[in-house]
Amino acid sequence: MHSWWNVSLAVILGVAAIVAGITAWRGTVLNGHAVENFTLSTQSTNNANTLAQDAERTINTQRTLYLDYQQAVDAGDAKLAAMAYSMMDTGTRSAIEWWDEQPTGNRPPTPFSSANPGWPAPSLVIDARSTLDEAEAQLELANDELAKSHSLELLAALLTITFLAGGLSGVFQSESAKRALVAASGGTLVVCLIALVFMW
Amino acid sequence: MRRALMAVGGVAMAALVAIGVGCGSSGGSDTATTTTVGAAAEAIIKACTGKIGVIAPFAGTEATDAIQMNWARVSLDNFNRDHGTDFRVEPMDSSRGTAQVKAAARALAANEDVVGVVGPQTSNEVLAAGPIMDAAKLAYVSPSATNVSLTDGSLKGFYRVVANDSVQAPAIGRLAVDDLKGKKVVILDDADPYATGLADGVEQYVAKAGVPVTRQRISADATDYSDVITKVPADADVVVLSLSSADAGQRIVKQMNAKGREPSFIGGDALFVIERFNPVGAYVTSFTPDLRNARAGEDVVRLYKAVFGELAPFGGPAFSAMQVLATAALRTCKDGRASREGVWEALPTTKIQESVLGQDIEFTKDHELKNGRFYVYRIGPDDYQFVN
Repeated sequence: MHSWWNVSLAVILGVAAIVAGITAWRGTVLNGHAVENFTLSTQSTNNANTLAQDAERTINTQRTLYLDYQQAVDAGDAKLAAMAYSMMDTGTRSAIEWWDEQPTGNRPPTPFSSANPGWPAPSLVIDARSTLDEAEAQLELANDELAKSHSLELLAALLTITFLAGGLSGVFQSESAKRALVAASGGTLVVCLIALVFMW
Repeated sequence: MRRALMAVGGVAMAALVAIGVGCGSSGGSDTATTTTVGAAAEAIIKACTGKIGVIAPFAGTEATDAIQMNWARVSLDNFNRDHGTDFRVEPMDSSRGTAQVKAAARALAANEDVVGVVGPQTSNEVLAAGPIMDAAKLAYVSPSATNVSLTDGSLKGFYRVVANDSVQAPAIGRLAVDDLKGKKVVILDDADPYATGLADGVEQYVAKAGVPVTRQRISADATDYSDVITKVPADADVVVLSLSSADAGQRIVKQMNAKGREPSFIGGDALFVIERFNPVGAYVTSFTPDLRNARAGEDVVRLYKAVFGELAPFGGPAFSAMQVLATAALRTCKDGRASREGVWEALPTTKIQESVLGQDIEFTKDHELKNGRFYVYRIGPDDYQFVN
């Protein structure tokens, strides 16, 4: 009987040592992932902001060039019209070409309309916002991993109770005290094991 | 003793194996992805091309004219981004009446690249254009046509992502009788089939509730409604504006108020245009929820504002109509191309979970939106206030 408790205690302490090691390892891994994801989300946010600014700049430039072009056409200034047209990107030219081809009754007020399949502005803005959404998702993931890492560190701290209770069981002579301390040690270990599985 | 040691050792090994399984089963960077396209669609070639027609007003100069077109376009570009598809919009203006809409339907039916259509906008337009698209087996999903008879089976390719007037009429009736405690109700309607159909339903509800109700026909194009207002009983406390024109509704309310008559006004969904019908304190119904009240809707409202620079939180049905068509097209894509026949077959079983409308998009066997409802708003100083 006496040796049964000693064996149990030895197993509990042994497993606790392994669990403590694994918990510490996992916490470090998650911490590392969190740092990585924080970095990636910062990068993605910068990319998204750049894309959004580019989209806004493109949309404004398209409109300005179109106004210059149309005013030149209305004034009969072919040279200015050609110059404005040459500075347009393919998206703007495509939008104007579609608009010019439409019959008057089926034409939106300007080429920069959602009805114009050649108008690229919606997809530019959508791309920018999608990148921002990805950045936010990465940030959320990073925060989640960091929280898990902190929880695992707490778990590792709680495992010391296992060692403490197990060690104290060797100090007391009373059988009931020994049993109680070994049970406490084992119980703490089981709770920490279950928590580790959930927090993994 | 040896057996005891072996048993304990076995338990310890089992514990270590459990930890090992835990190590292997979850990765460090779990990324959740959601998709509204079924698993079968994921096996289909990712790139898919095709055109989706949109019959909606866009040739006018008012910003409100193009809202459905704008929302449909945002929906399509968003879908293309999410699914790697290359669907293009094929727009057809409808701002000049049913003759133009019929011509639009003929053009779309003749274009073999067009696999489905968002629209038409009004019940009248659906009646005019529907048979043309039916003959070409071109499915069409309306974001706003609410007349009940449209789904009586005569228009095979017609679907809608909004509730019909059989839902709207009781909603107006309940507001008039139960909420506003109307003692005498007057219904004003015009000759449009939508308006008369809605008025019939409201009259039926109010009469069944035992509340006195009278009806008057008005002309939507008139500018002076003195003769109409004279005939409205002095003790009428609720006036239902079952009209097809928001401008006509605005004129009537102003003229009644100018004559010292201030009953509670309730407008049907055709008056749900705050730039044109905006008497503070009046009520108006709509088939579209305020997208800002749903998480998914909030995101697309922000997206819309980013593209068009203005807030338009009530354009959800046009977004959903385009989304359901594009989903049906992607489901049946073959060799990188969507097909009209595929969309025709797939649409009845296409489902969008947790749409921007705050509910699933799913069709009944009559091509109606399952669990569709109408929403009641009260007009505030510069926005709608959700009531029910």
